[in-house]
Amino acid sequence: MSDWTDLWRQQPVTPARYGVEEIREKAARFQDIVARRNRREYLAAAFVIVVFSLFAWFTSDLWLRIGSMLTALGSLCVAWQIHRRAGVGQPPGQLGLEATIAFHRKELEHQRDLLRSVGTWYLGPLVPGMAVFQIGRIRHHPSQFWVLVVMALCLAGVWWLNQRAAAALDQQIRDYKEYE
Amino acid sequence: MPAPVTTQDEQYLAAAGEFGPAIERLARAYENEPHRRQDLVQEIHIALWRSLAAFDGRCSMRTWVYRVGHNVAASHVLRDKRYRDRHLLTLEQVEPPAVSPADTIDQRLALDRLVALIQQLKPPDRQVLTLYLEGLDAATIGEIAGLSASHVAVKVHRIKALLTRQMQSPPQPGGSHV
Repeated sequence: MSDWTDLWRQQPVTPARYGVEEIREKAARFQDIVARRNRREYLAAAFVIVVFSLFAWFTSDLWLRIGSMLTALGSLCVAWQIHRRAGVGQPPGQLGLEATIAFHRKELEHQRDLLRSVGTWYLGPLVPGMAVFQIGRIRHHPSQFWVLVVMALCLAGVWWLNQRAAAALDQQIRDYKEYE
Repeated sequence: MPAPVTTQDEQYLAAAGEFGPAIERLARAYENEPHRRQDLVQEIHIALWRSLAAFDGRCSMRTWVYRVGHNVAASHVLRDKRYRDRHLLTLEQVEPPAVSPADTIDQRLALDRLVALIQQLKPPDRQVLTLYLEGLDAATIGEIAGLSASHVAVKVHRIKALLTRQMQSPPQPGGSHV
């Protein structure tokens, strides 16, 4: 066995070397990237909220007004859910405190639970507003009924894809449980 | 004016100095593509520095570093769609490397075949094999991975059987590839 372990340990590598200031800067930049990604999600939600709020203000149709308000409210819900979930991260020390197999299993479980629950925290809040809004449009333009059907199929498709991805993660999680 | 150097900073510099090569090797076990591997190494170093604020000596620095490295690497591959689409294997399923370091003067070929084998493995077996190749004893492997001593012994036995299988059969043409 010493052949393989010698081969592995003696492979030529050029170890990365960071000074204290450099690693601090990189850590700060890494945190910025995460914060910027979250801010993009909030901006997108804010855009939807503003657009539909303005529409609700200016339209005279009751269905469209209610649908717009529900959509804006739904977007606010989704933004809050993203904030809540993005804010729950591992404390940095956990990477050293937690044994590797349990750590990875928990990551998989977290991902699976997010995917499985996408119907309630991501799609669900948007459905009432989108449905009422489309019904409002169909009342004036009955030929637009197909839009509602397509929208429902798209939402169902997104939900189904997420469930499939969650099931794939379930299999991986079972592999890990065999080790513990 | 730069901020004063803290215990966390000193511990990081010491750990990075001692375990820098091990971190590079660990990254190679998880990431084939050189640019992404560099990113992974950087991610591990950043995570190591941040984590050391919570280091209280309840385990050795070696255990801490390997845990951080493997935990960061596991998250790295979890985010990667290429990894999610791959069918990974266990130690029992994977084919042995087609060449042995003892049978060939081309050590680079033998190393490439070894890395290819490692990258075919599911993460738990990948972790145990990599830690074994680092020369760590069973108790340390168990502490890092969170496995019982008996479980580590079974895995090490399978690793030895896998890596010696080449000795008993002639080299296979073509060999495994990632």
